[in-house]
Amino acid sequence: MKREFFLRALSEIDDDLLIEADVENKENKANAKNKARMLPFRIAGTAAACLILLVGVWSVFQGGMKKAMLDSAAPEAEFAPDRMPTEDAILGAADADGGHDYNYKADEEFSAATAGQPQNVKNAVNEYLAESDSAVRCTGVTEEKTNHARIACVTLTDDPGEDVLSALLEMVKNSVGADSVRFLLPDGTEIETIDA
Amino acid sequence: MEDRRIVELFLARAEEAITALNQKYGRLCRRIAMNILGNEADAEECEADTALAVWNTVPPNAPDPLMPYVCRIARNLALDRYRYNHAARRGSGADVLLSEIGDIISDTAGAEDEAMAKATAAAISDFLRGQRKEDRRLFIRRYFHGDSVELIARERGITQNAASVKLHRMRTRLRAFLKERGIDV
Repeated sequence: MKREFFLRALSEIDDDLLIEADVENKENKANAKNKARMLPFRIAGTAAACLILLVGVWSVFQGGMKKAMLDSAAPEAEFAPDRMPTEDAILGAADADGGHDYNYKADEEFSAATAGQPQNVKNAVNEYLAESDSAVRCTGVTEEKTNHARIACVTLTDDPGEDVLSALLEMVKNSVGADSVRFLLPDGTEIETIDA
Repeated sequence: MEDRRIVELFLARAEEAITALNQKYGRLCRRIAMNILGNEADAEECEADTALAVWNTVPPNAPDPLMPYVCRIARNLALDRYRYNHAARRGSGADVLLSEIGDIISDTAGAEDEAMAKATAAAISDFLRGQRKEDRRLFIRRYFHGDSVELIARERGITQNAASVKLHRMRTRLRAFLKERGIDV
């Protein structure tokens, strides 16, 4: 049997085998067409995914850098002359009847409770101011040290008058152990400095 | 157009039958012829001859399905042309096919006749039915359609080497199968 005869015999194989092969051929062509048609979309999708990933990585990186910068920065000063805290912020939320319950302490008790803690000094000052029916409030207490003295700086929203200042002098002097107490307005203007 | 409708046109001797046939199967026939002959001009001539052959044989034939009938005619016409051109056209697609067929059939095998051809075809069909679907389709694409191993491998997403190895193994198995069936190889 010659090879060519065999090749011709192949022509006579059953129809269903030829149809099956033709179906596969058409499927392959359709798949190839679909792949080619979808290629621009696949490229665009891959590019978009890469872009989103890059943006995400960049955001995380930026956030980390910002945090590192904040951590290394000097702590903010407590004194903020341009801020005017509300009464509730100073005294705490009002009671149901709108009043503020407070407990004024004697000098010794006051000193023991607030010794060396500016925030507690500020709260105590505001308690006294409220008890005195004064509209003035304390926005901050800081401490300055020189070669010769320790000065307590108390920032008030306004000048409360000589009598109130004298009372506040005693409170602050004893609590922080200052040699002098300087009373300031929010813009830094000095109201009065009183030596302890 | 559906195959049944095309056959009806041939049976009615309508001229648009040939146009419809060429529109649906012209490219396939030309491809089969091109794979065997390796020449565009000869392949186009085979395509035209195929349409004429279908016109001359339908009726009395009323093939259903139509595709295998048309492909068979195109293939045989291409092989006839190949035999006619063989001395002048070396290296055509059929040369490569014939060299591969050497794994199955030797040129010193016995004389052929129509009955032997039919028996061989039946045996090949039985053999292919016993193979996996992917291997079956691979064999037919290569040895009936004459598509190149490179094209088949690319469409299937496999390497050319993998396709060649599969075909080689199938040829070996087919040779053993034909021997068992008593067909002179």
